[in-house]
Amino acid sequence: MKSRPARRRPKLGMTWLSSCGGCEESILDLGPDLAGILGQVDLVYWPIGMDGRMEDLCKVPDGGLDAVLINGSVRTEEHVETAGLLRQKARIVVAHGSCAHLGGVYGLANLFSREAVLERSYGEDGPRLPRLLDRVKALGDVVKVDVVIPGCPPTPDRVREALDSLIRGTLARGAVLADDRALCRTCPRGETRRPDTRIRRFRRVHEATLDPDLCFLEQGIVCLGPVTRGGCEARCVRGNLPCRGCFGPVGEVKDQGGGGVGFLAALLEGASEEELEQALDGLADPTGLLYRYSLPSSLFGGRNEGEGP
Amino acid sequence: MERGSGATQSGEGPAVFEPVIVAFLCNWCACEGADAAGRARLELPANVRPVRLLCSGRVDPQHVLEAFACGADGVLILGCRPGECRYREGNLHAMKRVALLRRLLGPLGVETERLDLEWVAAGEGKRYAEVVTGMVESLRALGPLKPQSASTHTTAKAPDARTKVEL
Amino acid sequence: MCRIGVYICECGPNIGRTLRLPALVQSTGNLTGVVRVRRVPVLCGREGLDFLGEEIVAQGLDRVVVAGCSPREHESTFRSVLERAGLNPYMLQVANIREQCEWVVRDRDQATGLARRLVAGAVARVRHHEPLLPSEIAVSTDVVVIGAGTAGVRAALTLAGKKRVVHLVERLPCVGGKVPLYEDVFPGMACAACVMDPMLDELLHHDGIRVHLMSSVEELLGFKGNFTVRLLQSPRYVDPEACLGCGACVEACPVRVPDEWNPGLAERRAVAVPYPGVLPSLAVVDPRHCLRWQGEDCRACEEACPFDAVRFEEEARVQEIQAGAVIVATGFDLSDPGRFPQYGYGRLADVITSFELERMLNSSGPTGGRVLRKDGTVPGHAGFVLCVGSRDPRAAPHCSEVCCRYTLKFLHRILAQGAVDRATVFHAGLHLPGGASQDLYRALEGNPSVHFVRMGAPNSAGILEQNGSLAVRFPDEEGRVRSHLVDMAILAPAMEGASGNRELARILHLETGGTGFFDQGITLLDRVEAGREGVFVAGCAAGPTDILGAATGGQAAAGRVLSELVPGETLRLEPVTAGVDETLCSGCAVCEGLCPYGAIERKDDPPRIMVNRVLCRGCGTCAAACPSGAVHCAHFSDGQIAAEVEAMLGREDQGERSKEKGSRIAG
Repeated sequence: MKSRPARRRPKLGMTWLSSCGGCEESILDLGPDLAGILGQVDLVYWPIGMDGRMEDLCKVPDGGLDAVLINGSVRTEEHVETAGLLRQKARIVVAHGSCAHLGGVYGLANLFSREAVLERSYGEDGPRLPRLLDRVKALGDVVKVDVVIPGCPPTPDRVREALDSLIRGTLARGAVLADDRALCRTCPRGETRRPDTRIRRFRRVHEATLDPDLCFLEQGIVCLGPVTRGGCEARCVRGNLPCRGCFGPVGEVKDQGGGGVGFLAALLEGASEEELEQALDGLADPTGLLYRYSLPSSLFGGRNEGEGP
Repeated sequence: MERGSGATQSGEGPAVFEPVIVAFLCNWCACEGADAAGRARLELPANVRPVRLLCSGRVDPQHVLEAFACGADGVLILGCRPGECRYREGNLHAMKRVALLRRLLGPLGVETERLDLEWVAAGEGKRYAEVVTGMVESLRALGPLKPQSASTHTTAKAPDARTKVEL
Repeated sequence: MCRIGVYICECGPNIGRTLRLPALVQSTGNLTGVVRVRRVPVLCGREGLDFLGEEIVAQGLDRVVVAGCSPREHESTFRSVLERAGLNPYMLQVANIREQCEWVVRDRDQATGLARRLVAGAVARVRHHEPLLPSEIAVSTDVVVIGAGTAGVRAALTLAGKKRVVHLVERLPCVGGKVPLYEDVFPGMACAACVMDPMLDELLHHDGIRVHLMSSVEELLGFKGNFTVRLLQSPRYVDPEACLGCGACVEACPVRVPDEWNPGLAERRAVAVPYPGVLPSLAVVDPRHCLRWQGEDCRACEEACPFDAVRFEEEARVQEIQAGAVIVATGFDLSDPGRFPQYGYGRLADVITSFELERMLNSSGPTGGRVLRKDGTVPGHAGFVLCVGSRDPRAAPHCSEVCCRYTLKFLHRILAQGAVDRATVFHAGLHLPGGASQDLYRALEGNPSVHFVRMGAPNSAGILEQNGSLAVRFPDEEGRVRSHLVDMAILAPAMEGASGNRELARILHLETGGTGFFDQGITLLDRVEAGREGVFVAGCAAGPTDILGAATGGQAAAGRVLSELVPGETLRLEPVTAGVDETLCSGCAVCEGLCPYGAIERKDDPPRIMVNRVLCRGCGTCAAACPSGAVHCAHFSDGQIAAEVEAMLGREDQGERSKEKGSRIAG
């Protein structure tokens, strides 16, 4: 039997679009493992970590990169170009983190027009920026995405899983590197949830003394665990903070906000509009809460059909 | 293909906006009430697209969002009167969802009037007519749905990173 | 690829006067999946139905859309045509172009446009339809009846008459409920024992009925057709096979305690035969008072028993019963008038309840049928105070239904036997339904010994002691406070659900209202619905009613069981139910708390839920709330609903996605 030839080191690119840098941190969070992993890949393009120009990237033949990790939302025309170029050069495009996956926190800018955003941020004489799109988009809105690493930021285990499988040559198109089921399934507090609990008034985290072992919903605190993919090891919950939904909805749910309304409404106490309004008054900014990471990929919200990829 | 088949040319007069409304009707009271309106030959606007479900409690908030995303100017949910739900409390659950959904939709530029929940009993053909006519009139006054970001949704499928990644 | 046939019914002259049918036929033919469009003069007629069946076969259709009248009218008719033609009946969708289009829209273009959208919606929806099959499960036809009062006994006998095995569960040591304790019953003044005893005798000797006395339901598992009922039977300490109810043990017992069967009127012993004429006639030892349970070695009853029937060693027994249905017939209790101190009940000696008067009037009761004041004298003037706690939102909001009528019964009885000289009825409007009650009332009209006095409001009277008599004070209809002196006051307390109802409701997964009745599932056409499949409620457990109402309720509940659970037949489960995709369910249990029928159950390892298809009725509120998209709803799936909505909004065909948002301003 012939011995298999040594696998060549996969060529990898990484970049950020509209991003806070947290996803780049998620690479550094690999800690001691990072050196080993970097030794097994050929890192061709990573503007934040090494010298990297668009001209160099242009010289890479189409399909010349085995994979590219793109994080950040698509906000400007430059982002569209960058994403398009990387799509051309890479065999596998990985949406790295919530912004690329769902549009992310920046997507909440879609509650306002581009003009209002610029006006508020820069006033009359703004800096020269690449032209802003009408709205923030997810990476999948402008190029075909092959693999998703969800999370804001992704947990190190999920990043390691992506890079390891790239190195082993097993990174499969179509994968979402997270659980198929919602967080409750693996939540350490899952068993404390009682189905008949009703909430008279939602409370915010700072308004309550949090029981570290009891389901947040039982405490009247909004937790998006039921409408969010698991796979984050319930890190926020273990830190005694409720889930805010950064892994996005599970596969069958088209809209995280809509799914959130469905289950939160079920928990409301009240049989009259007045009682319900009272219960909801404790819920600050439901739109921002339920669409914190996913507004650009929601069914109805901030989409613009005048502007194609 | 025509949008809003109810769109009318009002002769020489000024342009009239004809809203399109998706109405989710429960099978037991609201559907029967709508049929009663028909049997009584009441005049109704052609703007309403009725969708029959077993219970108003079946309406998933995502169905409402989908309707708006597909171009509806308003969504109306009609169920049995409180205490008369065929399934006991489905109408109450619908009320809870609508209350929260309105708050979700407000910042997205969907005015409160565009999502309504009303009770129509099986014999209340007249009430059905009043409810749908009233909503059509209020949306005519309100105009087309303009989302906050001055843009509208398209169902054109950009690659959907959440579920379907093509090979 | 679908093969959809669309059949547009002209409904005789009904459809097509406003709608432009040729245009509708043409646009329908362009819809994806449609291979056939036909106009039919009358589709629901014999010829139309035959034609539809032939078309399905001849055209090789796999889906059918009928555009015509409301689906509430003929959906089931057309479904059977599909079935006969070899198609699954659920491959049909009906577009209502009559009631919701032709008949209501006046403008021909607008009506035609709307009809196009309705048909497009139906076509898009039917493309997503899936064949659904009913499933069938084997069932037990045995029945557990809880409560051996009038309703429970009538239910048991009705069921046993059709050879059902009945387990009649009664927490007391005897059967019959409250009626055997009365002397006579309204409206015909029949003798209560004469009415009840033959029925109870038949009950106790019926082969098909197992009477479990001193027993309570501790747990109910399973669902309609397949319940497991756990019974706990307290010990009687007397062998029912050996005891004859002779009372020798009673004579010997040294303990005396107040007698619950004759409250305020008599004492009983720690071993007792409940009341004269009780069925079954058996003694029972009360361990709460018997000296053996107070640490003394008393054997007085055991030694006195001529039949060796006393069994101190007896223990509680747990028993599991398989049954297909449960009938709850736990009856009522009178509320405690002591809750309203203004009546002086418990404080003023001659303020008594109607039940106490019933016992006094009973010829085998503690006073031998005589009405006596506490000092042993005969009252000259009796006052009957109605609506004590009833019809008052702060107490029991309901009318207790029987108080007015049993008060007439009392009047007839006491006047007939000359028990009092005079009687006054303090009422807030008399509730006397039916001819026989009116006869009872008319027979008292003009009787100088009887006065009816109207109070301004229910539950508004008060009673004070005044010179050895009782002063009944109340505001009249003008608000003036009036006062009448009587020697004895008989209160008619509100009826409320039996004291154990709330606990039983918890065990049976039912709900009780504020006054303890199981009235949550009752609708205008159904008084025995309990709100859970396979469980029914009968008699006063469902709310106040008279003896006839209780008996009828028992028979009605039995009738439901007889028609729903038939020996040898399986239970057909309708396919339009919810289901769960276990690969998606996270076990968050949001749905579990929403289901009105308890059809959703949470499982552990891994956490997930299951839908019980026997209990599910398909309303879909679980699916609407599921944050994982894991709960789906057959025939009303998200995909079907979305397809219909999209098509109705003109988005049914991928190529024709409209961008006309800006151009919708006509003119």
